[in-house]
Order: sequence, then structure tokens, then C-alpha cells
Amino acid sequence: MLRKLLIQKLKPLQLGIASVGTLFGFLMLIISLQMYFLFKEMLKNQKDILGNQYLVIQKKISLLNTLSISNSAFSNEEITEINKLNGVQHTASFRSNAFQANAFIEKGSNELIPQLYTDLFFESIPDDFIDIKNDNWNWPGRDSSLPLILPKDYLNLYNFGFAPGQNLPQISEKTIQMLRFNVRIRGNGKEKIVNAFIAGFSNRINSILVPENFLDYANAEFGEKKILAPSRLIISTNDPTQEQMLEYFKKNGIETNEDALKSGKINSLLNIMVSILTLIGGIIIILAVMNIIQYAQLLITQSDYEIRTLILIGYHPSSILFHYGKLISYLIFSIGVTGIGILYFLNKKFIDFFSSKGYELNREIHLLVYLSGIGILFFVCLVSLFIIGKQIQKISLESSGKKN
Amino acid sequence: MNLTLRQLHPLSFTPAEINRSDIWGKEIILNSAESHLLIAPSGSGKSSLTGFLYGFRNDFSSDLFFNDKNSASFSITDWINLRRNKLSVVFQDLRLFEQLTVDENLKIKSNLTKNNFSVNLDESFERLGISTMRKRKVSTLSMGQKQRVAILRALLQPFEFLLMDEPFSHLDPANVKNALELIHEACKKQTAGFLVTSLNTTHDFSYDKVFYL
Repeated sequence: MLRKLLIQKLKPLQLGIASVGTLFGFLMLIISLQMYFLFKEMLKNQKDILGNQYLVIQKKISLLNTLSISNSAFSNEEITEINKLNGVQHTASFRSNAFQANAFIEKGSNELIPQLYTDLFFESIPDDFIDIKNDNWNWPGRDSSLPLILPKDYLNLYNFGFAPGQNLPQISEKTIQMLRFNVRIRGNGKEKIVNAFIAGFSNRINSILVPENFLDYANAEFGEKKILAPSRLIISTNDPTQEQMLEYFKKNGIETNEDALKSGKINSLLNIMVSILTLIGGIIIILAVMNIIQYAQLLITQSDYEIRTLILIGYHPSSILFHYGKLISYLIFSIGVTGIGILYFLNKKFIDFFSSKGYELNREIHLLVYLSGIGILFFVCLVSLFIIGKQIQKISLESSGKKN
Repeated sequence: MNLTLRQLHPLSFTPAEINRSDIWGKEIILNSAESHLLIAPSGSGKSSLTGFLYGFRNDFSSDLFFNDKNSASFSITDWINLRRNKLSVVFQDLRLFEQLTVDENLKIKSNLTKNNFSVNLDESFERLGISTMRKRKVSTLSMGQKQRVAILRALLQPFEFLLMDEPFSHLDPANVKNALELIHEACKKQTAGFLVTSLNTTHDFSYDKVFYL
């Protein structure tokens, strides 16, 4: 009977607005949180795919370098300093050949392939830094074929720049990998011809790479000059946007490949976007809490006569509060269930969308989303009951002559 | 339970107003088991007295005792227990729930007291002449009918004293007689006293005590 009396005072429109407002705030909060966790996972996955990100750094070449007054090589001290920078995980030097090398294809060895001759240089870096992982990439020793890795840009330049203009056929990676040619290395009064092939094209390294053990062997055998200090370094980093690192590079005139930096910037932009989303969610939930507080106050104001009369005819304020407690709990519970339902639906749609774009994401809603959702609703429940309790207390004080 | 008014008077009253009265500023004992009538013109403080005695107003000076307990020391819970078990009331403005039916209004009270009351409900409806109104919403009743519902509601609880603020103002003499008889019987059953306030009439009932305010 008490319920009937007090429920009659609920105005459907006000109740609707208050519920929708709270539901909206609740949804914004849990959606932003879930998005936050999804984005985080996406970024993490992306990092896993790339492993760490790699930066190739070199010193800017100026007139002084050209005049041989200044040196573009990195000293051991500089390498140690770079190693200590925040965000730098590992560094490795590009080592280069100390002998002469050229590649050639002799006429007549294959009718289809034109005669070719070109001078070459070689560099090597540790295998861990190379993005080509295949069985061909090794050099077992002396008389075996020599694998080379070329920059992907070379192939692109040929296929999309040179070949169309010269009426030459475009060549696929696979085809070019089948090509065999000779490399002549010469120096120290000795000369050797080795059979060579292309093991792959690298997106990461802009150089002609040979396996490290080949370079060791060839430099020892044919090297005429002493081995130079490295002028390029490759760095693996977990955060290419590290301020300290970038600052150091700028100060010391070190250049780097911009692409890696860009993806780092996208990451931090994404982080900022998610933070803003969460912030907006937070603001909306505050508004929603205020909205429900307002509604609770309005409810009591509208039921003032009923509550006052109930207390006057002998009802205890706590039994009236208990009734409102039940009412608010039902309301909040429905909002919670509806909110989680909508989130579940949106999450599924979102993940389906990203799956179709090739992202593999955890389909579950993050536990923390549930926990913070329940937490905030519990908070809303408590706050509104507190407000209602205070109002009822005020009325019962007035009905007991304690306050007029 | 005796109600003792010790030099009680509304804060807003002048000494002249207080002196003129049988009640204000005097030592008055309202005995349970006795019937009391308070005759008073408008503005002389009838409703104030009901408010003081029922505990929802405290704009008075000096003291009011329930047995030997000063009402100033009562907590909310004390008042609520008193209103549930010892003190009942018919408000001048009745304080019924207009949007509920007569039965529902009474049920709200009888639920609270778990049907612990001394009158027979069906018979009381008959005697008050409102047995056909039970399913009607209070908002559709006349003032006189509402007054009878409010009187009946006041009887649906155990009490030692019953306060009634102009409860018969819209009733004809026959209905007043029926109501007073019902009230008197209910009081006798639980040796309770009552206080009726009225503008100018004694309702042809012989009260134990009559005061002029």
C-alpha cells in the first residue's frame, strides 16, 4: 500500500528523463572504458607485430664532411651515450666493406638477361635487426652462394619508375630471387668471384646487406683499409616518441627515418583521443549523477505531503527510506542491465568491424569495465539514497517539532 | 497516560491573550479515561494546541509532560512510538491520501498497527454511514464524508489519548452523535481519554471536562 501511495507520485516523464540521462552517462563511461581497453590492446598487438620499432640514425652531412674536416662516424662514446637514452633498447652499427666489390652477369650465360656490370658496396647488421627472416639468409662458408638483401625501394623504383619508361617487363620479388649473378671481390692483392642471389627486399633497411660472417671473412681476407667507425646505427626502441631521445638527436645533428616517428605519433595521438573520450565519459557521468540527485530531490518534494503524513500517523522514516531504496535499486539495476546489454552489442559490432580490417581482438568486455560500471551505479545509488534519506530526515524532524 | 500542560502557551501570544484563556499559562492535566471538550473561537490556538500535543509543533514556551516525561526530550523515534501506541489524532485538515480509496487509506494505518485496534471495522463503517464509500477515492468524497474517514482512521490503532481538531465541523447532529458514540466506546474499551476542539458547540454530549480557550 505504501508502495502504491508513493509510486503514484512518480511522474513518468520525469522518471523517463532521469533514467535515460543516467543510462546515457553510464553508457558513455563504460563505452569509453571498453574502447580504451580495446585501443590499448590494438596498440599492443601492433607493437607485437612490429616487435620493437626501429630507427636508423646517421649524422647530417655538411660541407665540412665533404672537405673531410668533420667526421660523420659515431665514436664509441657516442654509441654508449645513445645506448643510455630513454626508450633505446638496443643499438647496432652498420659495418661496411673494406674491399672493392662489383656484380656482373656475363653475356651468353642467359639469353633473356642483359649483360650487367655494377660496382657495389656492402653493409651488415646483426640478424635481429633485419626484417627478412628466411632460410636463404645465411652464408655457410667460402664457396657457397652469397645472399643479399636490397631495399624494397630499389625494386619499386625499377618496377614503377624505370621499367615502364624503358619498355621493360616488371619483375616480381619471387622472380628476382631466382636470378643468379656473380660478385667479384678484390683487394689486398687477391680476387674472388662468388655466386650471389637476392634473398629478399627490406622495408626497414636502406642498404645492401650481406650476412655478418661474410663481411667478417671478406674484410679479413681482402680488406685494404682499416675498418672505419660506423656512420649509421640502427636502434630498437619501444617508444620512438621519447622526448629525451629526440632531443639528443636534434642537439647532435643526427637524422632519423621519419616513418617510425610518425607511427609513434599516431600511437600517442590515439592515446590522447582515448583519454579525451574517457574524460568526456567522466564529465557525462558527473552530469548523470547530478541529474539523478535532482530527480531524487524532486521526487521527495513532490511526495512531501505523503511522507509527512505517513510520519505523522506513525510510520518510521527508515521504513519510508527503505521503500525508496527498493525503488532506486530497481531503477539502477535496470539501467545497469540495459547499459551492459547495449555495450555488449556495440562491442560485438566494433570488434566485428575491426576483425574485418584484420585486427584480432579479445571479444570479452574487460573486467574493469564491469567493475567500474557496477562501482559507479553503486555510487549513484548511494548518493541518491543519501539525498532522499536527508530529505526524509528533514521532514521527520519537522513532523516531530524539532525544526520549524 | 496523563498529559500535563505546565504554563504552556504559544510563543506568539500576548500576556492578555494568555490570561484570558483556561488553558494557556495554566497547569492543566488531561487525564486518559476522561473526555475533554475545548471550546474556542478561531485564532485562539486550537490547532496550535493539537500541534503541541501531537508533537509536530514546538513554538511554545514552558513544558508539556506525557506522564512524567517532558516532551522536549523526545526523539523522533519516541514521537513515532507514541503515535503508534498511545496517541492518536484527527487533524483539522484531515491529512488523508486523496488519490487512494477509503479502504486503502485505512489499510495504510491498519498495516502499521497490524490490525491491533478496538473497533469492528465493518460495523464502524455502518455506524458512520460511509459503508458504501469504501471503494471510492477520497478525492471524490464530500468534506463530511472525509471527516468520518479520518475519524475512523484515528481509531485503527491502540491509543491512550485521542486528539481531535474540529472533527465534526462538516457533520450534521445525527452523524456527530453516531461518531461521538463510536469514539466514546472505542476509548472506553482501552480506558483512553480524548480531547475534542470545537468553535462553539458541545455536540449535546456530556464531557467530563470543558475548557474555554
